[in-house]
Amino acid sequence: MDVFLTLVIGGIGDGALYFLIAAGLTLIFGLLQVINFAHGGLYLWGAYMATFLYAVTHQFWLALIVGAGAGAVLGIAMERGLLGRLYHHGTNQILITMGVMLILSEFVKVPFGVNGLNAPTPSFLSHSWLVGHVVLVEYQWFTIVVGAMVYLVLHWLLRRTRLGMVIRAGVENAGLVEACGIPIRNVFTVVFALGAALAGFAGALAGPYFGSVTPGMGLDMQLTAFIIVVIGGMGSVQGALVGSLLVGVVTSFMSFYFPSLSVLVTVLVMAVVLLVRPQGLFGEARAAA
Amino acid sequence: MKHVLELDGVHANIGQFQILQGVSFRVPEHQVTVLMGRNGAGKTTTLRTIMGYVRPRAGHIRMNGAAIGDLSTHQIARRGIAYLPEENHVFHRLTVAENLQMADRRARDGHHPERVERMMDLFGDLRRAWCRPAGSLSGGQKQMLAMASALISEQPVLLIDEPSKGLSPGYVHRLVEILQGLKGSRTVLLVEQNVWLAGQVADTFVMLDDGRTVLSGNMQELLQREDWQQQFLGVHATRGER
Amino acid sequence: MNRNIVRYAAAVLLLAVGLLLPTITGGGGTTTLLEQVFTFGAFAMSYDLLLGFTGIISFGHAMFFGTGAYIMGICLVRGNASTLSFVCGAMLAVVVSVMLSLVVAFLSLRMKDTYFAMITLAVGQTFYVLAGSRALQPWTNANDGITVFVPDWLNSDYAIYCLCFLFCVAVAFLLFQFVKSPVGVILKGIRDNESRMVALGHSVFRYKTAAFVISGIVATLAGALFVIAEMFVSTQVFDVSTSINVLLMTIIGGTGTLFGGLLGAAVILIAQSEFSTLAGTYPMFNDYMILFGVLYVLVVLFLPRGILGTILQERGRRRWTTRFLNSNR
Repeated sequence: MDVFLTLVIGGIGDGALYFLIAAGLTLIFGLLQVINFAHGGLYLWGAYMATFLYAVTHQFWLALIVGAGAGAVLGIAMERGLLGRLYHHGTNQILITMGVMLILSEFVKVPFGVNGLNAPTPSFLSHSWLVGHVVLVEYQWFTIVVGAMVYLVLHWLLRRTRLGMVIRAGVENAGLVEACGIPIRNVFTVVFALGAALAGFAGALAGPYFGSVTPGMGLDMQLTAFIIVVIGGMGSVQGALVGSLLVGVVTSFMSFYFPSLSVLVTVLVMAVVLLVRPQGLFGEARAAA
Repeated sequence: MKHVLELDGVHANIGQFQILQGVSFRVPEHQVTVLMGRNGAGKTTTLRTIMGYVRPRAGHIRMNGAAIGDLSTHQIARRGIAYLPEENHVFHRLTVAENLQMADRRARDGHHPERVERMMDLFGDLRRAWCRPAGSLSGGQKQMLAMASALISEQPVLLIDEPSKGLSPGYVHRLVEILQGLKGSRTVLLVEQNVWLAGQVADTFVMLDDGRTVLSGNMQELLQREDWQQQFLGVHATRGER
Repeated sequence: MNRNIVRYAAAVLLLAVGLLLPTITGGGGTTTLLEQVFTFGAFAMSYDLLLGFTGIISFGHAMFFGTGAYIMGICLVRGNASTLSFVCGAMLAVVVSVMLSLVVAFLSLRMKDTYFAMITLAVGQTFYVLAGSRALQPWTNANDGITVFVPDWLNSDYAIYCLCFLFCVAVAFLLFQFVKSPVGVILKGIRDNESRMVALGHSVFRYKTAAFVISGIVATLAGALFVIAEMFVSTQVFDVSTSINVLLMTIIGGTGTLFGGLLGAAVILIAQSEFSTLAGTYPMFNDYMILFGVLYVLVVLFLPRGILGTILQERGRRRWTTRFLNSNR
């Protein structure tokens, strides 16, 4: 029972982190119909910028903000500079974002080296408690709370604000939004920046979560996020949440009981979902057509 | 008479196909102008070109004398044109209320309950469906919602694409009433295949054939000229032959 | 009649020049580089069948290349480098690649192309992790990789070179026949207008699957040759960078030109080897992957037809000879 609880909490913690990445990915896909193959690169740079800044200033909150900011700036530059000219050109969009991923992953090695950096947990978040035989790690709980807050804020944004209404309308029919006098291109940029900021923010959180940042972390996280959005359904924030928690908890259990199989399991879960419900758990059939 | 919209030798392509090959007409202010022609004559593309979805390859589009051919769709909408496409004219996953908010450009300055109320009075059905997603409405209700969306922003110019298509007779009559009620206050460019409906509401007509304007003039004249109808619309083609 | 004779003469000349190339350029490092160019050239041509002729993007093509390399490596090690183990390795590689490509195709090709790119990336990376995992260590030697010995008749640089060269020529010839065939024409139709091909009653899924299977077989065999040329295989063959490299080769050479892949392989591999040499003196050249990344983005944006595609287009524009272009792009 204690092991069970520890594994569940660990899985939810991982899932909270995954959610931040997957949510950005799915939001961007929902509105822009672009899979951002550079999403892991934004996460990577958020992680490095935050870790670097924390090492220099020891300001944890500032590091988080800078991580998110790094993601947002890179995202805006990508959307305005590269993607803007490639809408309705699916193949080239995929190729370009993957090229950006390559550049971001390689370029991080230039100032920071190939071996990665240590990412210490700030002292006020580094407690842990033993309740019964269950280990409660403060930073893990912090991540879970942050993940939950981000979900609630996204939900509020999408359901209760005018911007959210415009985004939902744009997901469905971008042309009609334009006919309402709303510049949809600007909405695209805002959403891309939002998703990118979430990725950078997740990176900033992930440094202390995993204890270090490495050049390979971006691609690893991106693959997990892809599997999550395929499972959850592309374009659905709910799907991203459920997929993240599912993958987090399943991986947590598998890596405890069958460590060598844990990689296979997420892919197998994805394969099963694709066979049973190709559009994903929360996806609309349209996306899979 | 003042002309709100002017098209002059407009050519437009979709992909590699030349859809419009010289469309020229003028839309007089505060009247209903109907754009007619066979399927594939370029009626919908003409509206989409005016709205900036399709870039004109040649020719000029002017609104109140100013060129709008190079503007993007949202800028054209902000100049005062509301557009009702033939299909997908409402946001299916948004509620009726949200659909009206989306359409109401000035909603961001605060709520305008009096405008919404006026729409409710005009389209009684919508009041009951207020919080339902628009996708759950019937075809006629959707058309009424789309109409309400187009009217709520009080844009001076309306482009309406085949509003009567697939509607029950009851809704068609409602539509006629609404369109007739717009005369004198709004400028309407209507695409309509239904000659009877066009005759009920339109003041002038423009006939397209094969991407070109071939005729334009007084709607009453078109109603009397069966040869024109037969030549360009293919209606009444068999009358009197048996 | 006359033209056919010229054609055969040209083919024989090309073969002769190809087979004699190592003696002209001198052996050693150059021959190794040429072996790589021809294996990766075949790999890139198989990739072009997907990207250039069917219009689908795979970010996990390394899964075939690596599978071929590992199967051949393991067979040669277990079979004490006998000729039989070489043959078994090649055959097993083909069988496994067909099964693998059918599974991946069934999972991902029914959906939008974006799904295919994501799923191939994820599956490809799984192979990378599995190859390095502890569970498969008895077979794969985990992260240490396998050192491979080859059959005696292959135990010279020149023999291996000939094998690579002939393989590449065979692949080029067969794939060229394939893309000219009715099936190849349908694939191009899918690339240009998928919904139209659906409307015409073609089972797009089946044709895409066929392209994927054929492409997978060629990539797997290229991987099997790679391990013979290198006499070593490690998890690197499954790495995403391998998939990206072959993508880069195809794009730079020219998507949809088939032979562009070979050209791209030559350009990239020669550039890589030059950069490695330069990095000895100037450490900044260690970061050449950034340069490749930038080059890749620039090519997609400004030279979408690649080198060969652009040349063919220019030639087609200036002369009457658009025939080649029409049959390829």
